Amino acid sequence: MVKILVVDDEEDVIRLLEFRLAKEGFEVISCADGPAALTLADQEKPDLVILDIMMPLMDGMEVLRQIRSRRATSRIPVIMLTARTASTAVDEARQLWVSDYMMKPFDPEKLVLKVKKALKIPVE
Amino acid sequence: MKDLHWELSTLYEISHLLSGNPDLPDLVDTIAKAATAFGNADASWLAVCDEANGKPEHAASHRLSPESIGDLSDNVQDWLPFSVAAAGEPAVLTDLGKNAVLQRIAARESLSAAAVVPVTYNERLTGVLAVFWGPASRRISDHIEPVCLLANQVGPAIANARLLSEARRRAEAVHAIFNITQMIGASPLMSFALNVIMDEANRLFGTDQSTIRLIDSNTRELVVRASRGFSKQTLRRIRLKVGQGGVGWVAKHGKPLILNDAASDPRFSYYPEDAERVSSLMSAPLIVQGRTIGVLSMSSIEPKCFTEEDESLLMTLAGEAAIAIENARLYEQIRKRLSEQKVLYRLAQQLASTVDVPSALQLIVNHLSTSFRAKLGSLRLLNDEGTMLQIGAVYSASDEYIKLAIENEQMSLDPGTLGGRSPAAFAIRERRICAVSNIFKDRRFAAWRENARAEGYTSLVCVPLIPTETPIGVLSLYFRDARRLQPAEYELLQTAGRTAAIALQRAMLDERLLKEEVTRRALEEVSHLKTEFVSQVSHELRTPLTAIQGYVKLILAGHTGELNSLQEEFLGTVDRNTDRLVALVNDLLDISRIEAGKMDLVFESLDLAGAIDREIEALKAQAEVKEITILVDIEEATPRVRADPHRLGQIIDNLVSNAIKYSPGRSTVKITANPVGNNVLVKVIDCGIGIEPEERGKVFQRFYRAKNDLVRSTWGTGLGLAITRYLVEMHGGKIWVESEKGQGSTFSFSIAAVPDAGS
Repeated sequence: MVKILVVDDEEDVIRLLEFRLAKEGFEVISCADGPAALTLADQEKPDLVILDIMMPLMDGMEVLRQIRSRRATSRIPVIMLTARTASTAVDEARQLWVSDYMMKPFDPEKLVLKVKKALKIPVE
Repeated sequence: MKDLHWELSTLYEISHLLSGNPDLPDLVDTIAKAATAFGNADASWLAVCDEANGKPEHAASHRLSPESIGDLSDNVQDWLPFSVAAAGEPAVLTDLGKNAVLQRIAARESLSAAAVVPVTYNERLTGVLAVFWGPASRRISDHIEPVCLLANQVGPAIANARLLSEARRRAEAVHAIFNITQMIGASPLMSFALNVIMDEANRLFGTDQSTIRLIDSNTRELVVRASRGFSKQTLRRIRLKVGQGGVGWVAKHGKPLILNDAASDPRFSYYPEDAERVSSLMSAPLIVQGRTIGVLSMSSIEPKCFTEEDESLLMTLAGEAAIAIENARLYEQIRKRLSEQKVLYRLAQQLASTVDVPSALQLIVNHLSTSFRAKLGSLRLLNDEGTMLQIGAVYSASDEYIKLAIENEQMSLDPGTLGGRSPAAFAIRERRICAVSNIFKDRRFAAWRENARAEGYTSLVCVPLIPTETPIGVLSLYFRDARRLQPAEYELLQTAGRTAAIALQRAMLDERLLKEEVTRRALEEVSHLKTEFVSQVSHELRTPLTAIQGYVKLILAGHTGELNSLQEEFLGTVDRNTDRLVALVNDLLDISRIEAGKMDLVFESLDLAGAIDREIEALKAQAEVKEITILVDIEEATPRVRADPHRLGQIIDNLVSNAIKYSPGRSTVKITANPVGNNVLVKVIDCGIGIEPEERGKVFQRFYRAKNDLVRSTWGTGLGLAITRYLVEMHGGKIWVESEKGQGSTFSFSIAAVPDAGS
């Protein structure tokens, strides 16, 4: 089963994504901060990470850098959730090889399309 | 035998004396004594004649009363026998009663006979020797010969003594002149030079009074610059102008003058009765380059016989004095120039290190007030309209004036007011220095006399401060006494005024720039805070909006089960309004970032067709609702463009979504692109309501919304086109609109092409 790690400090957003992605038959694991995300990524080896940029403790960009710098996780596709105008952050994220990004607020349906695209799952 | 021995010893004594270079008076004295002895006589008298006028000069006598000496000396022409005076023959007078003078002598001194022997040298009469006998004397004729012998000896001796004293005096004069030249050369101070000259001259001429007077070119008065032997009161009393008195005569004619009997000469008549007695006067003009600048005078209480020799010597001294005075004047001039330069230099130097205007103002006033020894000084600045003078800085020894000046801070330049009739206003209007040497005599500023009395000044000078063309203020210096500005001072003030004006203007400009810089920084800070605030707020809004929008869309998509039609409709309303809220937040964030200069673009080489397609794809649903057809016509040769992909998308999205919004249903929105020069021109053409001509320029202003019902009823933030314009301009392009009312609008923008990009 495809395993997706959702990282966001907003419980409401995690719940929304868990619900919607479960509908698609994905297994969703989640956490609310960067350090926990790195631990989970190491332990669970998810197939995809959905990562919020603005988070306390460690921001999404740093989490992304660390995921990319570890051999076990360096190739996991990541979709960034970002504030719309953080174009420099988007630019930076691109250099660190992200599969896609989604600007908040977002339409869950569109995110599902991006997830499937990143996982190379054909959309019917 | 005894007589012969005595005669010989006396002759020896005389020749010994003569060989010892005696002074003429000593010699005459000795000879007179000897003559009595030689002639076995009772008294004798010897006079040496003045070479020039033949009058007896150095008279000496033996055994004669002072009355008789005076009688003989003063009346030589009355008693001297013709044979002696004219032929140089000795005369024996056995009856003294024949002559009135000699009769008086005979009676007074109990004498009965006399021998008068000429003293000659080189066949010229140089003196007269008279020997007197009493009634008891016998064989007078026997005694005449030795007397004649003595007289013959005496002639050359007197000549020698005279030559010697002359030589001595010449040597002394040369020494004196040498002294003067040396001392004058060593010191450039005029008073010192003049004192040296007078001391040497007094020593040389044996006089005790001397003056050096210089002509005041304004008043023509002979002002005493140095003096010896006169009391201050006398000098104060004796005020001479050119042409008055002996000294004035010399000043007028430029010639030397000797008045040996000063009191009897009308040219000398300037002395008041009670002044110190002056018996003899000798004056020489001080001439510099053919111009008489003053007079050097020597005088004496004792009667004197100044000679032509003395006169020429005095002329030499006067020449030296004139040179000394001229040198001193030149030196003073140079020194003054130097001190003026120093004034200017120090002013400029201090101003250069002054940054703020108040300090600069105070510095200028203080510096120039003290340099010119003014009692008060003020600097007033002209207001921007040029109608008022405002006090900038004040210099004064007393605080009261400063207080007063600050109270009368403003002064109008209107000619109808007191201020408008002030010297300061005059200087501003005329744009030149206004010098008032005596305000109590100057009719122009009669209105200010009261002020002058109150402040205690008599003269003032107002210097307009003109950096380039327009006066910026006026500097006024007030003097206690009447003071006439010298040309050099005038020049100095003019230069100082200009220096001060330029420095002041610079300081004012600096201050203005500083103020502007402070304002700019404050505005920047405010703008930064605003951006931060908007950014923070938009993030805070976005978080709940994410949840709202996400869940609403989830429900609307049917993931939580079947909805009834009302639920679907109402949730759709929530969804649409959430979209609007999100758009508003996004637009606000964009505009605040753009205006704060915080929006950074990341330029790439982009395929325009691809970018347009992506945006149309996103707007498809919106267009389908109104059944609007979107046509894209991109010219083959259109090159890639240099743009930030995200922002270019935003530009296209804004324009196309606007076109859809304001187009009627089932119409067409057309997008074209074609290369124009180094740019690509993109047009978005709709068949909508169009824009009124007067509104066309305003649609790109933020929060502007057309006064049109359709626009009013259509939702929009009023920021879309403003953001679009900013974004186009940040790409280096231009955006404009062409429109016909009711015929649709065409929004065009240009964007830079990537050079040499084939496809």
